[in-house]
Amino acid sequence: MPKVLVIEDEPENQLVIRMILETEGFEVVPVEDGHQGFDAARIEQPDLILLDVMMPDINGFDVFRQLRHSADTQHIPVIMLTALAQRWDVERAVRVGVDDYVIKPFEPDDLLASIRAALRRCQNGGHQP
Amino acid sequence: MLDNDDRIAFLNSTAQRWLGISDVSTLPCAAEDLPLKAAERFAAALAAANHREPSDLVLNDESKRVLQIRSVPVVDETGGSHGRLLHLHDVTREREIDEMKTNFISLVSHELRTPLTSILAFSSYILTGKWGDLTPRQRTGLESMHRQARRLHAIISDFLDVSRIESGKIEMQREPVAVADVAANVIEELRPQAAEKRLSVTLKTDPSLVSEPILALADEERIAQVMTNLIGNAIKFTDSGGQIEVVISRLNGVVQVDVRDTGCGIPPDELPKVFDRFYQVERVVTRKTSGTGLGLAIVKNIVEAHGGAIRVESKVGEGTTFSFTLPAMDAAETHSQWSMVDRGASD
Repeated sequence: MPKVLVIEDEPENQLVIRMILETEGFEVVPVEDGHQGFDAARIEQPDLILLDVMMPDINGFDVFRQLRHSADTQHIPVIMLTALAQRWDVERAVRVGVDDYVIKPFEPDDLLASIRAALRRCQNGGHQP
Repeated sequence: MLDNDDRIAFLNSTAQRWLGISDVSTLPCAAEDLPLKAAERFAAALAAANHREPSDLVLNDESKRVLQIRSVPVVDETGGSHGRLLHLHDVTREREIDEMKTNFISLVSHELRTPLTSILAFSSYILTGKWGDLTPRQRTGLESMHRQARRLHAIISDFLDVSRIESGKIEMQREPVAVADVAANVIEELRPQAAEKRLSVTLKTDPSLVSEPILALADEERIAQVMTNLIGNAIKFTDSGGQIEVVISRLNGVVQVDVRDTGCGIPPDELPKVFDRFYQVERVVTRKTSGTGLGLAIVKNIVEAHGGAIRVESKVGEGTTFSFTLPAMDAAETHSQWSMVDRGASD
């Protein structure tokens, strides 16, 4: 059962993601801020991280930088969740090297397809830390 | 007042106070030579301003004042020129309110999209039946809820777009765009909606240009947005069995796109208002059509941000044609050349 760490500060969004992923056969580790997210990534060693961009204490780009700089977490694929839907955020996400991004509001099928593709790439050795 | 040599000949006391000039003994002099920190920007604003298009001058002094400058030529009864009359209007407060409005809309849009994430995702997933079978009534209700949430999302996106475009916060990323390809993709995406109303949608390109793609220097994503709005409107306002035609041609250095429909048309007195924000033609909009009235305002803003123009022609009962232009690109110029120039300039 693939383990997905969900770093998302909005409880209602956290809930819908968790319920859908659990139904689809994923184990979900939910955390509500970036600091907890970084710690959980090191301890839980998830197969994939869903990372929200806009969070109050530390934004998703800063968390991503920490994840990539740590030897414990740099191998874990990261999908960014952004509500901004603005091109510069998407471009920034691509530029910094996230594995994929999903724009909120999202269709569950799109989120699941993105997660499965990232896991497949990782299994095939496609994710380069 | 500017004299015939474009030198400042006179500044009234209010202009002196706003600009922070106490000594006018140097007049007449060029704007650049005024004892003013923002002299060069003042000169640039004067050069850009005319009676139709005002220009803004931001004073980076303690006042942070923003002055809107208009200029009107002064001509005597024999046609002799006597320079230009400058009109300075303090728009500091208006610009502050514009900024607040833009920030407010961005904030509200974000706050509204967050709950929509959960509404849309939950309704969509429940409809898959993976959390149990739905009764027909539950399914109908949930489908309606999902459609309305999507509609709300589209409205919020329109609001955000119009506020960002108007405040100049959206940059157009221009590169060579094969306009016919964009139109073909948009038509394909909208074909199910057209099919529901049994409308035919056809794409025509200038037959003399079939051997080479018609390229415009434009932001592809934004041009697709313009076409989606115009073709989507044509579908919305054309009765079953009607026809929609998208025609692409190139003339005099511009690419022209015409979107023609055989729809209900727009009354002549309403035509000048169609590009206004929140406008919808009340007399012809029935309960079966909906929208924010922002789509055409967004379209006009995007086209004009590309240096293009948009116009509309319509006859009630016969149909409407929206035509817009974009700067054309010579097909001989390579894609890579432009991409490099464009990226280089923005980095």
